[in-house]
Amino acid sequence: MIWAALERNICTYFWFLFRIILNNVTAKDLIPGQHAIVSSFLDARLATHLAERGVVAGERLSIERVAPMGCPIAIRVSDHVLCLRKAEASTIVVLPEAI
Amino acid sequence: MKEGKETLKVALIGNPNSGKTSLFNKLTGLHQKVGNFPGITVEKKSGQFAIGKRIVNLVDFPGTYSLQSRSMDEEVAANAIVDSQNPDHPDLVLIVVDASHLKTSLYLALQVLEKGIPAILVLNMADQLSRLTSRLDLSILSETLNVPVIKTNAREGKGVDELKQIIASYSLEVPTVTWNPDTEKHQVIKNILQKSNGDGAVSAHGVTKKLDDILTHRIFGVVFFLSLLGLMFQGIYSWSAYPMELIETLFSYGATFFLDVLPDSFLTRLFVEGIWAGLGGVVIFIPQIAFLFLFVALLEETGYMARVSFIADGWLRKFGLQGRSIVPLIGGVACAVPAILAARTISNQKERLLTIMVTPFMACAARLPVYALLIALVIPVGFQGLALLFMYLLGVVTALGAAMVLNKTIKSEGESHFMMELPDYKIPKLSNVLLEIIRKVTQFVTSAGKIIVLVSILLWLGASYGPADRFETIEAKYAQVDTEEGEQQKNAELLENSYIGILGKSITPVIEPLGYDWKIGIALITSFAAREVFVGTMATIYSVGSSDEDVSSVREKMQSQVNPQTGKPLYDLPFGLSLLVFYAFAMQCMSTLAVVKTETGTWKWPMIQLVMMTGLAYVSSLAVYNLAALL
Repeated sequence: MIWAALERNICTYFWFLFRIILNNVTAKDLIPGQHAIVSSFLDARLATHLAERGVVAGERLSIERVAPMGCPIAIRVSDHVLCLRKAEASTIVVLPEAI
Repeated sequence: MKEGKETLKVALIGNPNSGKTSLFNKLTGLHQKVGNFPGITVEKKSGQFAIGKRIVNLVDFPGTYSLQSRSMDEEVAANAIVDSQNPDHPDLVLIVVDASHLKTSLYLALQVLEKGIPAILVLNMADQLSRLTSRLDLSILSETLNVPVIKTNAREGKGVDELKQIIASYSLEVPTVTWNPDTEKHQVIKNILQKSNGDGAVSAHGVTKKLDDILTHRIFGVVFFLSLLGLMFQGIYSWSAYPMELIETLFSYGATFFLDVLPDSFLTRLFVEGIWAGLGGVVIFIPQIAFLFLFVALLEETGYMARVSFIADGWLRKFGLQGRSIVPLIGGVACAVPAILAARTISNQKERLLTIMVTPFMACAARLPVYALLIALVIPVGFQGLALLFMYLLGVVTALGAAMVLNKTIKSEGESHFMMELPDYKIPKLSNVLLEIIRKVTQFVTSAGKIIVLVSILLWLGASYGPADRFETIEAKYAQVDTEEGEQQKNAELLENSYIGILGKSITPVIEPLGYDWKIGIALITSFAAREVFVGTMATIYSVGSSDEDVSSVREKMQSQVNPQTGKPLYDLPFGLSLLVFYAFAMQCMSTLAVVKTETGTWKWPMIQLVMMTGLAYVSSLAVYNLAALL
């Protein structure tokens, strides 16, 4: 998976690593095809609604595709594909599976 | 209630896309009706069927992911389940679960079961999925949840009779909850699925993924969508022209027939020219509504609608709208009435309201005859096509601009989130599509239709009656005349002196700054029935015969009018541009107002729309008239 992150360029790569250490990477920062484990949520209200749709801590998710304008994004999680705007995706703190 | 039969209130609860409505259609067939839940505008589909000793009143609740309500739609289901005093509180709940999304959909199922209501778990699935879920042990699932579990394929109608049998013999015992409601629900679900071998069940995503690679592609996806829109627009615009023509002919034959057969009296004329004409004005919309919903239902049924939202959301969000607003906006180019009904697919209340508010700015088909007349009247040959194109663009730009302004002014009720599932693609089921069309048409006829007929009667009364003394004078004046020309002149004079004519004259001071005279004033008022009535009214005023289609002769008459003060043509370029702009912006359609009222549930929004659009029309026309007069 390292090449996927490297695609962005080396600086972004280290910046990304740094943010993982700070537990500061959200679903918004992932690129298509990348997998990650949900670790926590930044918005409690939104977290309930995400939980209803199968997005809970410990669940594995991946970025399925990104809309032409860069937003919304479609994530595969639990057993379905969910569309979220970037604003919502940025409340899901994740741990990228491999980097 | 029939003798010896027990009436049972049964609710259908499930996630969106769970096949709930397919199951509802299969259970009730044509014995269904659509209304609203009391006090709110959420659509309520209810139906009835009898099985064994029971009569089942089935209510299809809007799809929801949980009982912690978020939108108005979801609140309905939650309120009915939680509150035992609620009139829709069910005796039995059918929890419809998409078998390919067990993990997600059991969340709602557990919530419902914890409320202590008798329930049946319906595992709904497509045929190709049955092998994927064949390992799933239904008896363990049923044991763990303490409710009957049944497999169905609602689209094919499989398992529906068995489900009815279970309902007939169900003891209606409140199921005991076997899990601790305080544990994290996803943990409970995991355990249940592990026990019943359901955790391996996955859906057939392969085809969907490949299709989505194309259909949501940056270029192909947009091209495909635009072509589809083109086809849809063509369909609503031109295919519905044939049935609409047929309806027009039938209603005008009917009118002639009734006038021949019935004695000439007030009641006859009220019936023929008020009620019958009003009914015609309602029925005329049915072809367009049917065609638009044929497309909308097909898009929904296949699952493509979710992709449309996905693609368009990024653009439309800038204006406070969202992906699904695209269908009402495009539909508005044909007719705002069905288009506004199509805004139901927008789940966010604010975005839906904005869409409803701005859709009437789109250049609808009824504006076309007016545009055609005015453009032919004042725009030089060679620029006429361009002018028409410009009018359409003006509609789009104004709609988006208005959305942007309204977005800033209307307070948001609840948060604006966009969370939507991309369901697997499905082959549409014809019966579901047809039932959806029938539901939408009936709803339009029974709700907005009433208001349209009423206003039509009022307009007729105003146009055919006036102060008795004035009418008597005119009658006396033309008593000896029996030529066709004389008859036309008499009709024009009667209209001028009718209540509407007097009203038209009385608003002259208001519309004079825009370059209009009292004749246009009358036409503006009668246009409220439908914009294209403008042409017919001008025809009556210039007494060129009552044929509405005779645009060229109206144009000739209007062109030959001379301003007595200047000696120049009365209807010149500044006048034409001003009126074009007025028709582009003004809210002059009672049918749209009626439908906005029924869709938003209050008169507040149609009134705001009326003031906003007509105000904008007034100011813009004033500006255009004065600017053009300077040049």
